[in-house]
Amino acid sequence: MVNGKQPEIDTTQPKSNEAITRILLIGCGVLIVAAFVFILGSATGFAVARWLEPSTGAVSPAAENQGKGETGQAINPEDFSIFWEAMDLLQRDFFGPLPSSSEMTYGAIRGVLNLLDDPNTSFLTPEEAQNFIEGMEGSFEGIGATVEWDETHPAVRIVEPFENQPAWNAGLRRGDLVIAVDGEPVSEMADLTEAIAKIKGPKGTTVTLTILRPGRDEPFDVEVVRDVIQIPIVFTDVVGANEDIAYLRFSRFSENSGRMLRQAVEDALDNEPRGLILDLRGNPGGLLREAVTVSSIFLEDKDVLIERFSDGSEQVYHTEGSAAVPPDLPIIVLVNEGSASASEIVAGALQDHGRAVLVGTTTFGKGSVQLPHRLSDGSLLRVTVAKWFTPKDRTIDGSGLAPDIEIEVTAEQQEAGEDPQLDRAIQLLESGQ
Amino acid sequence: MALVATFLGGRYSVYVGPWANQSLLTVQVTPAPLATSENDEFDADLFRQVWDLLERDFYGEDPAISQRNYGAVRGLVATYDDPYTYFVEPQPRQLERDQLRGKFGGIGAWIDQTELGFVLRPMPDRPAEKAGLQDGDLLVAIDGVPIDSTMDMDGVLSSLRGPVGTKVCLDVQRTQAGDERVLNICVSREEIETPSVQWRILDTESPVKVGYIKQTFFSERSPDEMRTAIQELEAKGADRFIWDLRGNPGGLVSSAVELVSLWVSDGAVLIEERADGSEQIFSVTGDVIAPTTPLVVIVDNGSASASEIVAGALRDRNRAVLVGQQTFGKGSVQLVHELPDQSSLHVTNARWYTPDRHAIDGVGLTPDVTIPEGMDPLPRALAVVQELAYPMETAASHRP
Repeated sequence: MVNGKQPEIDTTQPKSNEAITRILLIGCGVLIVAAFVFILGSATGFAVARWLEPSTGAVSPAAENQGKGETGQAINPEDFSIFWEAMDLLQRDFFGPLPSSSEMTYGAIRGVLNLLDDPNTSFLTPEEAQNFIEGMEGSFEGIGATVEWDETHPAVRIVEPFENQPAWNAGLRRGDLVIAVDGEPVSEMADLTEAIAKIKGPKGTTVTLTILRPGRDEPFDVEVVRDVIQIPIVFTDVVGANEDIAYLRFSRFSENSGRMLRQAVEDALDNEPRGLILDLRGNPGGLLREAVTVSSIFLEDKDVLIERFSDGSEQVYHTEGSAAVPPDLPIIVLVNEGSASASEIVAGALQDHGRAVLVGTTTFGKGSVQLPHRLSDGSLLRVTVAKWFTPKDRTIDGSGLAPDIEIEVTAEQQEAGEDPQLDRAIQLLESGQ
Repeated sequence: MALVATFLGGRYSVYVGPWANQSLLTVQVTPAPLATSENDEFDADLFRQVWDLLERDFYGEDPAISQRNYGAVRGLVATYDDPYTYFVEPQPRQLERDQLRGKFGGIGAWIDQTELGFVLRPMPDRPAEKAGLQDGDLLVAIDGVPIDSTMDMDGVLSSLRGPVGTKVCLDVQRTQAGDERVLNICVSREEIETPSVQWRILDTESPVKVGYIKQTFFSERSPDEMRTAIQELEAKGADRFIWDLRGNPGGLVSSAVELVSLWVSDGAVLIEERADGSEQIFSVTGDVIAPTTPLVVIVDNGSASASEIVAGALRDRNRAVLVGQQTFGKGSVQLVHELPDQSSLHVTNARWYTPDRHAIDGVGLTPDVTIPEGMDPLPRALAVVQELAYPMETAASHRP
């Protein structure tokens, strides 16, 4: 199952055109933080967007091993002169309680990051970073849903409640807006991080969420009992009238998840299915490397994605080894608006190479790659370092990937437990189209 | 100006004004930190790491060094959690300084921002009009730099203003029927004053003449304007006054002190409590010209900071009757530090109290005569001022 790291397995570092060791991660800002809710009671999330350094178990100590002054762009201290002067004046003259030194430092860093106009380039305090790392390592306490920030209210939108997890069991559904947490209006909270901090909490405790549901006039309260969230990475089943279609739900691109999926696919193929359904709905992404591994289960000797860096260089990622799935076995990939980043890489590659039919709704649209850096005091800086493009050089950033066959799931169908997207996939495979 | 001093290679002045926003302050007194030139509390290494990593790796435009400085300062300032402590970039700062000074080098025209773009309305007898610019002329370019409707007003104003005696050349388009020529007109900038005080004699049925003085801001020039107003109105026979501070957001503390000094002959105007624990009492300057003239001050919830200093000082001495609504309640004072690149930093540095040590921060002043919101306070103010004893006795100064 989903457990920790197996360092001996994953020694393949992503090939980088830079001398430094890089761990390239993919994820979407929204969903990363979202992951925080479902993963962790404490602060941050799981590995939707970043990952541990596989060989050492530590987040890239980038700041240390990237030689100081190596770039020749070392900053002249005079560049900061306005800033230093402002700080001196504030420290000397301000009437009132002074912020702590770390608050000041983090404030200044966030001030610089705000200029970049990129929500995916972000800063986590040591505490947030620690929670994040613990979250990646295993136990997550929360309500079991991915969420995003809705600016207009503002509110926290439930992007994907996980089946049979606390949020789902309490009746929360995709698209619900959380407008208050334990009676405190979300509109009075600074951002998603703060809202998430209030939603999450230790196992067994209860949080009352005030929900605004599209189509209902009045908000209503829902009590959710937080729990340890267990999301199986791969769920396998057989579907169809003759139970001859392999169904694999893949929930995130965490470390080693590609190997797990390959094993599950190989097991499923032992039953000689007539077709295969790969369900990437609600999969928020994860490691770039795992996206390549997963693509290599279905494709052979093909490009998976093109990555372009800020210096104009690019790297083409190619499939590794031989495909597990015979080239003539029909594949359908289920996607929806909760399928992001690494999910979009896999779906985009399979679509571009004509290897699978995409059924569902347009995907999230996260086409950038972040590099995480652990900083000297334990905080974490995620920097958008690249954009990625599908093998046919399409970008999905902001627009998402359009399915070949668009099927919506209505609120009523969701409530009734119906899955018209899966039904359509089964129908397509059974009719041999 | 008494309150403008040289300081750390930059100039600073003390002023108050609630422009930041409308929230209330809750400030606690803490001992001032020891002044250090080394920022030993701030983790400069960490900040530098972030700066370096962004410069090396970030996908997208790196902001200019100056912008990164400003971003860092804004982020830093935000951690002080005080709406009145904030940072102003160089261009808006110039406009703010012009406002505080009450004058600037300009062409003498109003600028309207319309869907078409920026439209000029020259003031009478000012350089713009004298150079041939007309009402409704649309700005096409300033000194060859194209202007379009998407630009912001601050930027346009900044390019039109400049040192007195310099020239600015405008491309404008006429917008009149039959005349849509594009013209290039050069204008020599002159000193343009922005008056903060307006005055007139109020019409009354009684023979008593009441002078009405409306003040919109506390600039460096306000005391001179007020002096002129009082003298002109007295020359026209006014022996009672109404001073209207509605909607006046404040300005320079020094200006408030000088203004009170025109009406009060002795005593304190305000008491300031500083971050370092020291206290300063600001007393009248001794330039009184109307020490006993009956006076009503009109205030509302837009009357803030320097307006509240004036109203509080006059009220503590029974020198004026306050009519209107509860005032805003801004009882803190900011230092404005000009930084070497012409940006500025506003730092809340003190709290002030009225001469009788009333704290108004977050509370405001309650008028003696409250007028319901939405009702014109002027008729009532007029009635009150006419009933006041003449001459008006000022209460003895309390020793704070």
